[in-house]
Amino acid sequence: MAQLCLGLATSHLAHIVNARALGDPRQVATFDAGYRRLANALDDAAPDVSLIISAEHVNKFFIDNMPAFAIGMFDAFAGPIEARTRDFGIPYRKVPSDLSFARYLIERGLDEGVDWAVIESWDVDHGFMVPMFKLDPQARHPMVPMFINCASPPLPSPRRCYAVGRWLADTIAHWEADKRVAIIATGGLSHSVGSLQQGFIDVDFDRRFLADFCAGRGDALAKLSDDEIAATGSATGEIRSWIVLAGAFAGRTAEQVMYEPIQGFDTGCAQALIR
Amino acid sequence: MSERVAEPPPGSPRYAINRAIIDLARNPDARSLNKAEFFAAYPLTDEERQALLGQEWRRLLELGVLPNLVYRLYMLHGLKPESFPAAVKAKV
Repeated sequence: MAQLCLGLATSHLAHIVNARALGDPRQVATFDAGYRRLANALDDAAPDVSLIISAEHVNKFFIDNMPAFAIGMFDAFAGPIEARTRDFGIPYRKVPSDLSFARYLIERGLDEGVDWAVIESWDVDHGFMVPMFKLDPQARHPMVPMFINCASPPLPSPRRCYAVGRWLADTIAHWEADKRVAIIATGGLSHSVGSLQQGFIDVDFDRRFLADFCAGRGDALAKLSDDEIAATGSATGEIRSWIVLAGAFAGRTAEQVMYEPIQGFDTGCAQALIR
Repeated sequence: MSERVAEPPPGSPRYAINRAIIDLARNPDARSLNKAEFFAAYPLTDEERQALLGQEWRRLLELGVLPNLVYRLYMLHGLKPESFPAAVKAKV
């Protein structure tokens, strides 16, 4: 049977690869060091496949067809889409995936859990590719990308995201493949691109969120309201990926790897690790 | 025999303005295009057109434009990202 072997969470903003000078050098160094720790944890755990969960920035999906959740079902994908047309600080490249794992999650979900949208070809954007580049520069780890709508309300609620995480853990535990699986959540914390709050880093909210996340109090995160999240510095709502991860590792404690409110990046940058 | 219909189907109240911006953002020549000419092809209200062309960022949010698209339109005007927080708070 498959085994959930590692959980990682990290902010995914692209400044860390293409606008580093906007951040305080000491804070940026802490962010880099955190990425190195997460990368080492990924290498040490050596999962056969990782599910990487992110928002998406109106590149793949638009409001003419906006799913709540989607999974890529293919042997490989590529990105970042931004690097197709301009210098984005990281190269456009292919990444190995795992069609059998994706297909398993989709079939189980459509039978009794999550009505996934299915993506069979995908140029993913920086939400996936920036963390993947920092965690796995050689693209050696197979990744299955999973999308959450955080861009266009109505959004999946925190309660629903937590339940999807619980469902993922249960479903992965029942996978009859003898494989080790990691889950990587990206986005947040305070991060309000395009909103009135852009530039506001809600340090109090971020620290409370991290404290609950690390103490294994995912049920508290599941009780956050959409309005509460939208009113904080996390107006992009990308912390939903963290809440899915909290559901997948419900009751388990996490280690806070770093937190830095980096003003020049307009983001409360955070990373955590669940072994 | 039914007639062929050229215009797009009706959408939600926020659809046309978001459609106009995403189409501009996906155009490789977006930065250099004449924005007024580009948006002329879309069924926008006068208020929406004014907000788009007058760089009324806060008003665009109020009109239901996705924050991500407000920011992308801002960048397509060649403006500096670090000036966005002040620009979006300004009331026109």
